[in-house]
Amino acid sequence: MEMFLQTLTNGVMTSMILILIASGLCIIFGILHIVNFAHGEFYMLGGFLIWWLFELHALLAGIPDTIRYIIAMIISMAVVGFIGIVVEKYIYRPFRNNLFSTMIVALGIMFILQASALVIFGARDKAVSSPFVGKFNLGSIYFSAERLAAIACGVIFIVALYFLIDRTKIGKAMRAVAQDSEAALVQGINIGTVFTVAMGLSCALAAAGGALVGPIFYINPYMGVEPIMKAFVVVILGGLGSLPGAVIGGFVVGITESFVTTYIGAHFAMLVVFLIMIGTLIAKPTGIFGHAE
Amino acid sequence: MQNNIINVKRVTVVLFLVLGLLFPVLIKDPYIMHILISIFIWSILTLGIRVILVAGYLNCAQASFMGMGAYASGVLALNLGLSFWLCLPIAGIISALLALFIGYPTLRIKGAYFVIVTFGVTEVFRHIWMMWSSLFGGPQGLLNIPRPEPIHIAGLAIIFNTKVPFYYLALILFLITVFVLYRLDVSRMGLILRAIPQADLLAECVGVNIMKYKLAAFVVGAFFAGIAGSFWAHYFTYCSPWDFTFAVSFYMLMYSVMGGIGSVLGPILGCSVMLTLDELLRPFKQYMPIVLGMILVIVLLFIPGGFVTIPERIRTRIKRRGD
Repeated sequence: MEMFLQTLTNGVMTSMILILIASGLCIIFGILHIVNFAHGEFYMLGGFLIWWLFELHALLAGIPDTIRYIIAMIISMAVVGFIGIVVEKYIYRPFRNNLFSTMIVALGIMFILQASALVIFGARDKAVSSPFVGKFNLGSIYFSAERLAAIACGVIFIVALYFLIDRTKIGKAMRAVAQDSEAALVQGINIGTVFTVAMGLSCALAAAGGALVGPIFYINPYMGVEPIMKAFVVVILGGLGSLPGAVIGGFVVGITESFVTTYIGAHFAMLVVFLIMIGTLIAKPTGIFGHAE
Repeated sequence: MQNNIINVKRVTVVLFLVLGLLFPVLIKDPYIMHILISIFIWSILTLGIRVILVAGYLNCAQASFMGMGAYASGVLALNLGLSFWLCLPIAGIISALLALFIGYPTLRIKGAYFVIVTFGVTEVFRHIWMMWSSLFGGPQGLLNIPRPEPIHIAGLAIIFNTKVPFYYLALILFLITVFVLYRLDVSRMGLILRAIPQADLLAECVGVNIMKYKLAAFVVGAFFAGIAGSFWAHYFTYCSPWDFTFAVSFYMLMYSVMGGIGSVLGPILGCSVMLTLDELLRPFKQYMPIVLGMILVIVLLFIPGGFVTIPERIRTRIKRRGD
């Protein structure tokens, strides 16, 4: 029972991180029509920035670690979001409406960001000391505070994202552009602004994911590769461009992976996850919530 | 005029052929020979990827097909003691069959979905090679794969202990690939494949079975990848799961797009330029992906047709200036 709950908590935490990355991918695909291979690199940059701000330069030393950590996270989200906006505006936008070219360009950006991180920060694993210390216990079962904090932050971000897209004006504009960008343009929506917001938001979410795993796992230039693969699976499972699909897909992948890793073996986890994806696509080629392009 | 252009083309092809054949006689440096061998093999791989690329399908599983060829060939040679000359075609056929099984369900899926599924396929294969250690040797891969057996022609034994015979073998495989894929490109099938990104519905309406052509293109590409993989395994005498990750497929895609997918020459040019650059920048190896990414972005922004269109661009520019 204890092991089961522990595995479940780990699974939920992995799911949260995955959902943060996958929802960003989803927004980018839904609005900009880009399969952003470089998305994992924004996640990686989020991790490195939190390490750089929180660990190496001890930003705002003196105030409690938790608050420092949150401030560092917000800064890293803003910086990565800005980098994303620049990449979208100057590199992705010239290839708008060309799925083929944007995918190839995204590969290029992926290599550039990965190698830049390698050159700047080095290949060695970096650890971020945890700002959330302690354990919670529920009877005889213990949960580590950092994992619970990651889950809580994930929930907060996802709810905030939901409100932003469902309740605000820019969210409405984003939904309109996702449905039909030309009709949205005719209605007087500034498509350029929507693209900028969508890309900035997505990259900031990825950075938040990277910042959240910082204290739990190690940070290195290649940390973005595995989550992005899983996030692709999540997005495909849920249907490209569908946010509820990304959330459900995230839980399916994260929890399956956690249980298979614990009870069968780590190598089987990825295999099972990919087989689920391929099976889903054969049964329903557009994913659970997807519809034909 | 038309005749003149064809002749120029023919002369260049013959010139390159003679140069290619005489190269080991002129320059005996094994290092340069190794680079040329890599260029030939990478050209086979990128040419294979191009067949389905012109139909608008980004195949991220080409590295897996190469790996499957390498592993199949290695396992057959090590466990059954089969000769390399038998392993080579079998490896190609195994990769092609695999492509048939993978392509049949996935080629129905359009655009982005296909990319991500093939991306997933590479990971599935990597994990299979890692886990099935009794057959595939696990994370360290297959070691001590035998070199190709000597061949005897007219009392002359060709022994594969230096780079020279490997060079000629790679050249021959490369020439066969170019010939076959060039013929395919100018055939009806090539035309139909190129029509798919623009008007797949229209093509289907006029009675073209698109699925059949897409599948054929995918399988042909995988066949050549399997051949290249087999050669690779016997040339290096080892292969491991880390040699065939999706990053390798990404490089193939990038090289072919940089060279230009409009013609058969494009991927060859892309591989030649980028692999040479890779060797020249070896001292700055960690900066190489940055350089590669930047060249890619610049090429896509300013020369969307790839390197292969540069001469034509210069020609039109000169003509425009002349007017």
